[in-house]
Amino acid sequence: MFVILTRTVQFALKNFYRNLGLSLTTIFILVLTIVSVNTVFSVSALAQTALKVVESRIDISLLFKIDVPEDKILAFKKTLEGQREVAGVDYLTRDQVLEQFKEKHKNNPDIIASLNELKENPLGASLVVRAETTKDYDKVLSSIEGSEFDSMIEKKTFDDHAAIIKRIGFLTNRTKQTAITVSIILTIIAFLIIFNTIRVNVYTHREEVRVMKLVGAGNWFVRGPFWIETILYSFSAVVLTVIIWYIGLRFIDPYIAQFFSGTGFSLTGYFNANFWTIFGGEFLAVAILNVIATSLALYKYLRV
Amino acid sequence: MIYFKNVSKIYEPQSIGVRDIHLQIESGEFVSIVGQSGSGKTTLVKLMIAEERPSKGIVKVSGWDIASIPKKSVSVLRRQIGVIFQDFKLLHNKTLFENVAFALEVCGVGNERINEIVPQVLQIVGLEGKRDRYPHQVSGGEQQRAVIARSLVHRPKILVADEPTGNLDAINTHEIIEILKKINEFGTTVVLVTHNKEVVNSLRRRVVTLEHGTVVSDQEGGKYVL
Ligand SMILES: Nc1ncnc2c1ncn2[C@@H]1O[C@H](COP(=O)(O)OP(=O)(O)OP(=O)(O)O)[C@@H](O)[C@H]1O
Ligand SMILES: [Mg+2]
Repeated sequence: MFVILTRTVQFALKNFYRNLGLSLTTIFILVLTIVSVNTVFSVSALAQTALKVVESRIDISLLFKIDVPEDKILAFKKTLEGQREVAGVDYLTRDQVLEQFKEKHKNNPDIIASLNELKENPLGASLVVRAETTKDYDKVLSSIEGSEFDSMIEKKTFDDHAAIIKRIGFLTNRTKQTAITVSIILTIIAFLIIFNTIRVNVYTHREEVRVMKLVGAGNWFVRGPFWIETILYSFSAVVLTVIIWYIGLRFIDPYIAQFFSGTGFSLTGYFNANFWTIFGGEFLAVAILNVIATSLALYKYLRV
Repeated sequence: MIYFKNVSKIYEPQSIGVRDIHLQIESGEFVSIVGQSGSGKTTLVKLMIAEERPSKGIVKVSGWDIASIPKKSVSVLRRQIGVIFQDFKLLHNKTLFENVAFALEVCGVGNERINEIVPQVLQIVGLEGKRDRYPHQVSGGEQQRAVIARSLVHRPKILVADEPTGNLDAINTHEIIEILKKINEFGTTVVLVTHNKEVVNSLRRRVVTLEHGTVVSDQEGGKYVL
């Protein structure tokens, strides 16, 4: 059994070298295919992170009238926190609100000047409410409006960033569609190339195959090397892609880290976390593709 | 050992390989099959090694029914039959030793056994001194002897040779025939397909003559009668 295995592997390696150019072309096209599939994954991951970033910035900001006492606001905070749809509520004192306001308008000297003219802090305290999901904001808003506290609120601000979310979704879909189309085309090309490679391999080995058949070699010996070779293509292609991909990430990741600063997101991290799922899955997919193409080629050109 | 009953092989409606063949070859026989080109000799050989299946009738070879032999058993059958075909050449990128060893390698035989068997069969055909040469470095007769050596590695009970002396001169032909006789003396059944009148006449063994796909004569100690 061991003899059979080592010999089939040996024969397969010989096949590989005998048609080296063809073998390398096959692997190259497989690498391209896997890279393009990885691009689809990356775009999805980037889009998801971008959406999360935007969504985390959605909130309802309630600015209270100046004369509302703190304990009332804190009581309101408690009731809000009791709601199922509410993820969290932050309380900002009047001073903190003023700080934020100054910070926000620090580039506008007119506003700062007029603020400084006032002796009193003109702003009330504030509650910042975040809902569990983007869909929950409507409910939270209407519950605030329907409550007894509504009359104490000077101003409600709610920005759902709908325009940006829509734009991210649009861009993501477009990029994803392109990448998926490219992947499908490459997959078809890869399939044809593998089929052709095995066909040529069978052709170059027609004499060996004839000898094998006439001296009574088992089916495994005749077909095994072609199978092992095809698995070898899949494996080399995936390993090569991993190397190329991680080198590529080294160049891309600094830009992405900059863009998503504060979230700690990086594509390298994403691929590290999902390494076996992504590359293992891709190896499996490529191997299955290879096996199908090889079976077809062997069925057509290696009638035993 | 080899048994044909009422066998026809029809490739296509207009292309008939053999028709209504009755033939029985016993263990240890040396049978020559002669006939004009296209008379069905190769077809008969292909039926024996299950490379073709009969369209009609029964073919039995060392117990196997060729019409219904399962694919897996074909390789078992072929290890019991040594085959020499005109188009069944040596592999040009392997030495004579490697060519003979290849037949064992692909049948899963271990390296130790290979190193034991290959020199033995090379000696039977008288090639022990040229084992490391490539096919293009030896004569046509020596190539054919290496082919015979390769067909012997499984110690076959039957040796089927389709025109093994096709391109050879008289001396080489004689040598090949002597080797086949020697193999037959060891107890192997030999089926020899040939065009060569002198060979058949000098053998003085059984001769089966085919014409248009049928057996027209089958004589012990026969002569080439075309
Ligand atoms: N694969 C095939 N398909 C169709 N017809 C075939 C095939 N093989 C052989 N034949 C036909 O069967 C007949 C017998 O052929 P076969 O090869 O058995 O003759 P042969 O006696 O070996 O001839 P030769 O002495 O030239 O080798 C011929 O008419 C040939 O054309
Ligand atoms: Mg013939």
